[in-house]
Amino acid sequence: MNPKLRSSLQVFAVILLIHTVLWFPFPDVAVQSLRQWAAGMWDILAIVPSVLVLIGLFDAWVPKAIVERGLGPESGLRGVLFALLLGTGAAGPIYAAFPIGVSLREKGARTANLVIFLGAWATIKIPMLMMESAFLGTRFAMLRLAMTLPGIVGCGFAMELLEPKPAAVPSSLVRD
Amino acid sequence: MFPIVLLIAAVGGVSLSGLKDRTRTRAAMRYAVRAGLGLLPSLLALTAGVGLTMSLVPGSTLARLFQAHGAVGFFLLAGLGALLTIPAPVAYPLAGSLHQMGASLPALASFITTLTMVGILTSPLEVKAFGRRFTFIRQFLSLILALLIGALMGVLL
Repeated sequence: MNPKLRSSLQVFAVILLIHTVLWFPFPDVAVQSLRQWAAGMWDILAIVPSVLVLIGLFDAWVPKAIVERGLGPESGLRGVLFALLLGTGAAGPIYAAFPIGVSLREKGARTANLVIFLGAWATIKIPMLMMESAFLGTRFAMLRLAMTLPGIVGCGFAMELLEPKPAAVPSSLVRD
Repeated sequence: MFPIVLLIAAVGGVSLSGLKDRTRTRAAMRYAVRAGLGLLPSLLALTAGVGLTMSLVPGSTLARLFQAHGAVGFFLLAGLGALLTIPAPVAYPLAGSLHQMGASLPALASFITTLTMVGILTSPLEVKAFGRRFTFIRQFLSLILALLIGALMGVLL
C-alpha cells in the first residue's frame, strides 16, 4: 500500500480510538468533537484539492530551464521581477526550493535575487492567496501580500549587503 | 464562494491544459494527487486536534488565552511559527481555526509569515544548501519582516 495512504489510515485509527475512549465517560464531548472534526475536514476538502491541482498546473507549465536564466548580477529590476515570478509559480514548501536555489546560484544568480526567489516561493502564490482569503478574509490576505512583497525585496537587498558572496557548497551535497 | 471560484479555476485550467498538452496535464494531476496524499495525515490530525481542543476547553478560556495576553500571544505565535515549517495548505486552515478560537489577526499574520519563511527545525537543510551564515542572516531578516508585518497589520486592520 502507498506509505502515505497507510499513515493517513493510522492517523484516522488513532483519532477514532481517542474518541471511543472519550465516549465512555463523556459521550457529548466525543460527539461534539467528531462533529467539529468533520466540519473542519469539509472546509479543507472544499478548497485544498483545487489549490493542489492549480499548483500542479503552474509547475507543469513553467519550464525549469527558464527558472535558471535571467537572474544574474546585471539583471536589475527585471531580475527582481523574474525572481518573484519564479517563486510564485512553483510548488512545494520552502525547503523544496533549496536545491533549485543552489543551481540558480551556480548559474550566477545574484544573492538578492536568490533570497527574493526563496521568499516568494515560501509565501506568495496565487492559489494560496485564494486559500488565505477563504480562511482569514480577503482584506487580511491582500494586506499581508502588500506588505510581504516589498518586505521580501528589501530582505533580498539587505542580505546582499550583509553577505555579498555566500560560501559555495558543492551541489552534490544537496542533491542526495 | 471561494471554494466555488477555486473549483471553477481548477476545472477550467485542467480542461484547457488537457486540450493543449496531455502529458503535462497528466504530470500536473500526478503532482496534485501525490501532494494531497502527503498532506492528508497532517490535515486529518490537525482538524481532529482542533476539534478536540474546541470541545474539551470552553470557548471563553481559549479566547482569554489569546486575548488577555496580547503581546505574549503575539510573540508566542510568531515564535511557534519560526520554530516550525508547515506547508501552506496546512498553515492556513490552522490559522483559520486559531482565529475562531480568538487569536488576533495581526498575531496570525506574523504567525503565517514565520511559519512559511522561517524554520529553525528545517534549517539544517538550508545550511547544507547555502551555508550557516546565509541561513542565519536570511532567517533573522525574515523573522524581523514577520514581526513588522504583524505590527503593521495591527495598525491597518
